[in-house]
Amino acid sequence: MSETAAPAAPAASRVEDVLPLSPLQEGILFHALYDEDETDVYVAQLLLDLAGPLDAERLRAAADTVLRRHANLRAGFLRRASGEPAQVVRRDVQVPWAETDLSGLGLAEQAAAVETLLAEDRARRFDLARPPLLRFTLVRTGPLSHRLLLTYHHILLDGWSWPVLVRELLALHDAGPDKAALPPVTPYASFLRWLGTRDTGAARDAWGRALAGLSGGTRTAPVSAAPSGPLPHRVETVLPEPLTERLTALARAHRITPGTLLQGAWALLLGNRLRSYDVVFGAVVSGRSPELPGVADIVGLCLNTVPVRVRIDPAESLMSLFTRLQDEQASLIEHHHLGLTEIQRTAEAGELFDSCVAFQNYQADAEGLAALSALSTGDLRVTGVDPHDAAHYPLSLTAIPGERLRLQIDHRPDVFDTEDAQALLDRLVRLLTAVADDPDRPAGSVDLLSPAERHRVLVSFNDTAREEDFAEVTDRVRRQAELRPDAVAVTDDTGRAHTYAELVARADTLALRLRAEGVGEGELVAVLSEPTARVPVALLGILGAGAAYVPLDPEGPVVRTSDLLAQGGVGWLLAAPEQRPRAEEIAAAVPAVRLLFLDDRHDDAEPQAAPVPPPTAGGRDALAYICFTSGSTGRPKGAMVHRRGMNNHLLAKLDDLQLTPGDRVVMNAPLTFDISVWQMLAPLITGGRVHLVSRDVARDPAVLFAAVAEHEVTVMETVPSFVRAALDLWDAGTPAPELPSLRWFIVNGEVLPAELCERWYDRHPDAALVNAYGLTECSDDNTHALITRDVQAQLEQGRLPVGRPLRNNRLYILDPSLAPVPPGVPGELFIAGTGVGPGYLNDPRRSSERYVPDPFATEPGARMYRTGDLARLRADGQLDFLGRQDHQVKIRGNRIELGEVETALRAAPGVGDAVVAVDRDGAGQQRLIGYVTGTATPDEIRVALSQTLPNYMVPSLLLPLPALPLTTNGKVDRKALPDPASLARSAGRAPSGPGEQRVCDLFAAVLGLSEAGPDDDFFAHGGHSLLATRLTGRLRTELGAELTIRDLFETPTPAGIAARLASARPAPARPALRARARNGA
Amino acid sequence: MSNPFENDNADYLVVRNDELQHALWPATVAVPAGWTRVHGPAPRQNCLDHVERNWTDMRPASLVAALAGNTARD
Repeated sequence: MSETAAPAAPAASRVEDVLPLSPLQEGILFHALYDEDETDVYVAQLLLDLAGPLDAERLRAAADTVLRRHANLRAGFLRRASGEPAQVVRRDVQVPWAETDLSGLGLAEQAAAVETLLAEDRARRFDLARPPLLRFTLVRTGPLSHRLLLTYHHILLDGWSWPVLVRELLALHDAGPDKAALPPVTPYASFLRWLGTRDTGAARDAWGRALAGLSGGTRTAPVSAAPSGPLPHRVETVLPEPLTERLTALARAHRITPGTLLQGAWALLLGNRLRSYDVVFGAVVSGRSPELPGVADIVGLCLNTVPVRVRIDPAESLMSLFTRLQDEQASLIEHHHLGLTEIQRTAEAGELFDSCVAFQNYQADAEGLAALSALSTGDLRVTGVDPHDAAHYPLSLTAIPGERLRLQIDHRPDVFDTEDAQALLDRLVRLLTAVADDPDRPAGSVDLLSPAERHRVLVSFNDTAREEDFAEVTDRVRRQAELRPDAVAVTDDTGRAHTYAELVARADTLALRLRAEGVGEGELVAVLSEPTARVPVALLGILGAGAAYVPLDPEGPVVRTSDLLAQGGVGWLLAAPEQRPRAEEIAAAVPAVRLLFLDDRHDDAEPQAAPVPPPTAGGRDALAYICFTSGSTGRPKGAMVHRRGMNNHLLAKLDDLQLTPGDRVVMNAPLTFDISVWQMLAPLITGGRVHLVSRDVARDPAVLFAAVAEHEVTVMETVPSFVRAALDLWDAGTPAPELPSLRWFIVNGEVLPAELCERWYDRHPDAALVNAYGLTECSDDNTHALITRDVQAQLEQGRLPVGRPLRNNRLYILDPSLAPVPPGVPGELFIAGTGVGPGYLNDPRRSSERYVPDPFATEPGARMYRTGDLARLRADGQLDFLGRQDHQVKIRGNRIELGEVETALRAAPGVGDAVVAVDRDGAGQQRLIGYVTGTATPDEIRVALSQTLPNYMVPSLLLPLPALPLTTNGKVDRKALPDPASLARSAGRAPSGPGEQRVCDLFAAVLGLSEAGPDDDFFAHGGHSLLATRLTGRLRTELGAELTIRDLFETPTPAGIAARLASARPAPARPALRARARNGA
Repeated sequence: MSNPFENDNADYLVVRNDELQHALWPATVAVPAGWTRVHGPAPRQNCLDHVERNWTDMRPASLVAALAGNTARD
């Protein structure tokens, strides 16, 4: 292969013209400069198959002539001293031209060699300052067959330019540079001038109206994508000819364009994927207004990417949606010239989209180009064309018309995997098929799942049906007592220990006593006691009497407890003797309550074996217990759990944890927390032992783990914040106990960070971690995930799974029309099966909106519970918990999941735990507040976050706390987070020296502020990507600093930039134009 | 996006199963097997009011019957 570079020439007097940039060119310049070390995704290619006699020299001369004709193809891209970009047209630029001969190779080798050539050439970056930003390679494949590769930077030209370019090349080749009868050039400059005459005010108004009320942009990427990334991968399909014909006919009959049809379909796909009825994506438009004479002959970048906003009404018919979309879009055509940045600013909704749809209506196909080349008089013909266009959105859909519509989804491999993109493409085809089949059906009724996917998510993943194996727990415990009467069943902190025989005797005695006192079957008996050995007796006694157990908080406010009893219609209060004063106070406040005491006369005496209480009514549907949980409205909700739900959950624990009589479970959960129920009962129905610890022990990691060690506990469950507290303690030097007996360490109730698991396994490799998830309303845990020691391997999108459904539980992840969503797509989690409880105590209203009909059950009349949690299924059927639906917030129009910010904060080096809240700053703007524990400073955290989160997701304030406040259940207590205003915080320090001062001044100037503090975040003060380009430009020219835009993203404050400057390689301060143009092309 | 069960602008049904358990259900979605519409389509609050007035014994009907049977035997 030979290559000739254009000869270097003196820099002077070679500039022919200096042009402004079109808005899209500015955007591309920004992205291309964002990271000059990575692949430039804007390098595009056009590969032509040429048949017929070809004269390489003439073709090369033709290419040179094309460059002479079109001045803008000779432009380099620079920044003026002011930071404004400019394209500088050089007078005399020759085309880089290479030739290679593959004619000696076989067809397969030729194809492989061309592929390699394409890839290598595409990987070679252009220096945007050095024209020309294109190069040709002529590949000879035979005497009369060639391939011509044009590799160019997208900033120069768009796909609509190809036919013009090819036509001119062929005509010049055939006729010679002077003889070709080519039409006069319509210069790109005329397009730029025309742009300058547009009514931008009217355009802003039009876009403002079109995007009004938009609550935020539409982000498809499951993870935050960096502005630049690797080259996209592609999945594609070709619709069958009949389907293509039906769609074309349908569009024609309803006077909509195929492009509109495609956009509508994409909108529905996005809405489905993102659970949104209001979506935005980008559309590539030609930008070539017929108002501009000769616009079709321009070789240049005229296209624009504009937002398409689609509001979805699930009840509206598909065709009506398409027609409405077409009308809405038609009114915007005359405003297609406004740059995207300007449109986004007008919409005030942040970044509007990260996916893009293009309907290729330029004639990129061989037929189209061949038709053009047929105009030429020579024998050289284009017989094939293979475009490799540039796309930088995480997701781009391209449709190429033809007898069979070709659909391509280009996806960034760092953001979407191929299976995901393929599934999306499959759904698009199903959607288009549904449109062709019945365009009048409601938009919300289209099932995007394939039958196989549907079966997988509804049936295969929920294949948990097992013999229910119901038995009363009292009978199960009695069976253990018969097997091992003298084995210890219950111990506690106060030194009490009951054998199985004693436990059953006490429980039966209590049951009979309750019946004798008048406690009826199905009635509710509240229990007020410290967590001691009395509690399992009380629980079993109440169940044995056919009543339901209602645990109370022994330190909760009396008024609250009284209200619970009164509103819940609880008829009985069973109190431990030491609780007498509190119990009497409560009973006095609730006249309907009858007060009983757990009799302590028998505590020290050998209990008398009691007669077995008679069987109770109701069986599996009778109530077992009621746990009160806080309600969003402030009034606690009493979640009722029936005996079959409790039974099923206990058996699930037995199965999954393989519990044996040798197991010892610690009951450390507050009694009001439903996990205390299984902690007590699971060991007792297996012949094992439960050890109850006092509240003080349960709250203190050092003391609790000491107790776990001392009592040789084998199974323990707690919440992640508690685990963190323990690990931090041990890391800080408190001796960690050996826990040789501990087999299972279960965590639930909060998101489990991977880092905690790794730290846990470092210390306790043999205590296996189980991540559990469940709802009190659905009988406690509903999923278990064993987290093995290779923690990182189990992460998906930064999350550990919560696992698969327990026996006789089913999980549904549903979209807003209650249709199941595919794996990977978030939706609301519904739980069905045996665990679903009867409802909220005395609250038919809230019960009826949460416990709803199960449309997927095989047994009619079944119910499912609506969790309010967002979740998604993994491909292997495990559940990923994504957070509460109501923790979604919006900051500056951007939709933010607080959980994502928290995950990123916890992942930052030196950060322990983190929680993010929202408040309003002095200007009344919503902002994120990050509360963090650990050793990292706010500045360090900010730097770390700027590498993992889009800037709008980085909290405005980062407040270090010694520890996060916890609720009595050990969860983070959001309500107890300190008010940022109450924490000492400097109002903003002064610059530390002249270096910082100068950077502060530049920040202020670029941002249009009167002043900027050294710690003011550029992007938090109105900075955006284009202003960032300006700022780096001014830093270079005025301070001689070579900083990239990425530097600014990483350290967006004057202090950060000043620190970088101090360590950066100084560059002489001089005008950017000369500095960048010092060498010839 | 509004939740299918929490849209104050949408119509709902009140449905009931053989256990006389009541539930809210979006009017636009087919009523699942084993459930009967007893109220609506009507606005959400109207439906919830209906539930509150009519679902006065929240115990499943079969449990009520079982408990009554046991009481009768006593």
